[in-house]
Amino acid sequence: MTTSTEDVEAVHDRDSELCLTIPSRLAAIEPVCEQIRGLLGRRHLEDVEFAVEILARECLNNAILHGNRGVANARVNVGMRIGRKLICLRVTDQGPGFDWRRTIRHGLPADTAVEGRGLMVASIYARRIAFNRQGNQVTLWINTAKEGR
Amino acid sequence: MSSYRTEHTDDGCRLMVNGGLTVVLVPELQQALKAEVEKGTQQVIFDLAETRMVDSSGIGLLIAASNTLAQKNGKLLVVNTAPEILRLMQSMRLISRLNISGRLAAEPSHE
Repeated sequence: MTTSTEDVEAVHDRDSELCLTIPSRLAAIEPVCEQIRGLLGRRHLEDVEFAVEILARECLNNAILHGNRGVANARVNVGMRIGRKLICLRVTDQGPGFDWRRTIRHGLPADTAVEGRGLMVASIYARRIAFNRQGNQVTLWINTAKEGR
Repeated sequence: MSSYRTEHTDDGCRLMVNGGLTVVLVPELQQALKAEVEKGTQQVIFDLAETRMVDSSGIGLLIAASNTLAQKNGKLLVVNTAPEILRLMQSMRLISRLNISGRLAAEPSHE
């Protein structure tokens, strides 16, 4: 099933902010990433485009595959705000949430593990990661200046 | 839209991913890899020359492929990796595990 751009509802889109609501389908991720790249390009932030996009993808993957699983006609809200030094990305699903404290306590996956690397990827690129109490919303902050790695 | 194509050589098979090695493409690639392993392919090369993005699902696929091929005395190689993806793989300590190499720099021109 493909998702047309009509399914991506833009609540508002200014030069420093993006706010979208999308259906809970993996095919809806690509149009979101296109909009994110577009906004970063307009702000001349191509240097951090990879970091922001991969973080958005990880959050959206989790929201769709895990967060909204079993929720009929669920939607995902995506917000991005560009500040002077930080980009703030927030993804919210309509599911019951998950025990993020337990996931963090569990630690890194084994070398041969196939799953469970989403948080690891996020920790590489995000300056800070925060979950709401319920566990159905994640907020990340990314430096606008590309860090040497 | 991400896609892939397959080439078969005497050494094995080469999977060339266009766009993103991400969650949307992973199920198709899983099936393709399963078919290759079942017919006895010993070496699988993921050619990322046209790949601009990966996510943890794509990375998981590479790890799974590496695990499966190793069990059958086969080998996974990941070649022509874009600099950003290479840096990610370095941060995740997967370079040697997955036999990952970057893109060759263009030959300097000589007058």
